[in-house]
Amino acid sequence: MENLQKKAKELLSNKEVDLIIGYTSISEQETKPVFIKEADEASKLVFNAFCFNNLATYLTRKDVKAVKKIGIVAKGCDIRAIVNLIVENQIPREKVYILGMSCPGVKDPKNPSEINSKCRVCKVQNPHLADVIIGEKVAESNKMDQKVHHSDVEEFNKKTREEKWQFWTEQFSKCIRCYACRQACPMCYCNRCIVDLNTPQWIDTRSNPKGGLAWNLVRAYHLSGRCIDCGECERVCPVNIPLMLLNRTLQEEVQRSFDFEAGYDLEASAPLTVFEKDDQENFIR
Amino acid sequence: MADLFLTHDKAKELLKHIASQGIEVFGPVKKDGSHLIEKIKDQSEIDFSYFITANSIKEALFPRYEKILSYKISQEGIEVEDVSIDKSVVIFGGHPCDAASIPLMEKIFGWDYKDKFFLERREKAVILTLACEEADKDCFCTSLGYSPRGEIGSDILLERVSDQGWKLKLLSEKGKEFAKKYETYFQSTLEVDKKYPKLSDKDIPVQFDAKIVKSWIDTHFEDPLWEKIASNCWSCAACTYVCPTCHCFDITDDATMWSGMRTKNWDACTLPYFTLHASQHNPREQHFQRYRQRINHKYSIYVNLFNAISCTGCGRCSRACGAKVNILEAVKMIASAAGGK
Repeated sequence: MENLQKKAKELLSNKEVDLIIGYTSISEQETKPVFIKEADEASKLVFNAFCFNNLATYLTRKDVKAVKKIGIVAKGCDIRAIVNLIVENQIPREKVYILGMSCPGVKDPKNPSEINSKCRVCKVQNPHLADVIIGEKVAESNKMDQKVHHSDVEEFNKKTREEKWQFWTEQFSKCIRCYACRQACPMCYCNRCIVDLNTPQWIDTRSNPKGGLAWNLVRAYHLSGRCIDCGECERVCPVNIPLMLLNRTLQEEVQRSFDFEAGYDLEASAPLTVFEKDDQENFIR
Repeated sequence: MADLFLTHDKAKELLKHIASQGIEVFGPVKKDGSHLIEKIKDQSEIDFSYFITANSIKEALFPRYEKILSYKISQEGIEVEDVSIDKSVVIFGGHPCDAASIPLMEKIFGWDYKDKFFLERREKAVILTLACEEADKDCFCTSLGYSPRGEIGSDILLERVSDQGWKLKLLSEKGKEFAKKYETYFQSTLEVDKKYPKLSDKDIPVQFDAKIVKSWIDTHFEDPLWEKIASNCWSCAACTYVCPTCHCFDITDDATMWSGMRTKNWDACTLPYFTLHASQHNPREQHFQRYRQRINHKYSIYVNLFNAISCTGCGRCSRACGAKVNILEAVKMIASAAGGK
C-alpha cells in the first residue's frame, strides 16, 4: 500500500499524470472508487481484497476522457478491460498510466469469507500490461480451478431448452431497467446506447418481461467476445440477476468457435468485429 | 379496544386469504438471496427475516410500468380506452421510512395535475408497516425528523414483541376497519420477549441539520463540492429506482400500425439522457450535474414546493449503489461545507 501511495504521489507531483483513479477505504471490508488530483491526497489510496470495482469503466466517462493523462489503479482483470478499450480505439495507450496491482484475488462480494470464483481461474494475477507493477509477484500455483468457476455454466447447460427459457424469462422479468449493469461495465461505452435511441424506440424500455428480455439479451450479444469476466454487472445488479451466467455462456461459445478470450492481447480484435478468410461460417463468401 | 397481536404464520395465512379475495397484496419475498417487496403470487415466497427490503413499497402504488390508455385506429376514427384502477391494495412489510414516503408522494402526484393512477390506488390502499428492529450505517431517518418506530403514512404499525409475532397499533380508520374485517387472524395475547423492542430513536443519531443543507444548496448551485460528492457516480438509476420518494416517469407507446397501448415507465434524473433536448443540447451533461439534481430536488426544490424534504433517510440508494455514492455522506459534506453539523 505504501508503494502504491508513494508511486501515486510521485506521478502527481511530477505531473506525469493529471488524475489517478484508485480505491479508498470506507471500512475494514469496504472500498470505493476515488479520484485523486492532488499529490497530497495520494495517501487516501488503498489496495486490498475488497477492491471490487472495475475502475476502467470510468475511462470513457466524459470528464475523464477530457483529462490529458490518466493514472489508473488496476488489477489484472481490470487491465483486460483497458486492453479492450485500447483495441477498440476508445483510449490511446499513451493516455493511460496503468498502476498494475499484483493481486492474489478479491473476495466474493456476496460472501466475503470466500475468494471470488473468477479469481480461481485468473491468468493475470500478475498484470499483463502495466506501466508499473505494484505488490509482490503472485505464485502461479494457486489457481486454474476451471471447474469451480464454470460449474454453473455446465450445470445450466444440462437444462432443456424450455427450462432455460423459463429460467431466463423469470430472471429478466425482475429487471427494473436501472442500467447499473451497463454503467458499471467497462465495455459498455456507446455514446448512445441502443436502448436510449428513441426515434424510433428500438428496444422496449418498460420494466416488464418483454422489455427485460429485450434489454438483457441485446446487452449480452453486444458483449459476446468482448466481456472480460470482471463480474461487475452481476455485482451491482440491485435485483440479483445472474448476468455472468449468461455472459460466460457466450464467452465459452466464442472460445470454442474462435479460440479467443478478450483483453489479453493489444493486437487481437474481437472475433465478431473482424472477418478472416478461414472463418468457419461461410455464409458471407 | 383490547390488544391485538399477529403471528408470522397467521400473517402469511392472512395475506394469502386477502389475495384470494381479488385484492392485490404486496409483501416481503425472498428471491435469489435478497428481500424484495413484491406482489405476492405464492404464499411460500413470503419471508419476514429481513432488516430492510432492497426496494421500497412505492412499487405497489407507482408500478415500474403501467398502462395508462390503449387505442385503436380504424376508418371510423380513433377509439381510446381509458384504464380504471379497480383493485384495492394491501401493502405489508415496509418500514416507517417506506410509509413516510406515501404522504410525500401524494403531494407531488396531487399537485397541479392529479395523477389518478397513484391517487386512486393510494385511496384504496391499506398500509401495514413493521417498526424497525435493526439499523445500519446508511440509516438516517432521525436526521429528517422520522423514527424507526414512526407512524406517519401507515394504517397499522406492527411492533415486534417476540420472534413469533407483532403487536398492532391501529393508526387510522382504514386500519381499524382492516383489523375488524380480518379479526379472526389476530389474537388478544402473545408471549412478550423482553429483548424487544431492540431499536429506538437514540440508536440512530441525528447527523446533520437539514435546514443548513437547504440553505447551502440554494446558494451553491455552481460549486466544486458537487464534483467531489459525486466523483464516483457512473449515472445509472439504481438509487432512484429503489428510492421510496423518487417519482419521475417517462411515457412510451407500445404500438402496431392500428392499435397500441400507452405506458408510464419509471425514469430517473441520474440517467444521462433524462434531460436531452430535441436540439441534442443536454443541460445536465455531466454525472455530477445529474447527482446534484437528485440532491437538490430532495433537499431544496421539493421543500420550496411542499415544505417537506423528499427523502426519508432509508439509505436504500446508498446500499444499492455499486459505485458507493452515499447520500448520507453527501448531505453531511454539504452540511459541513455550510459550517453546520
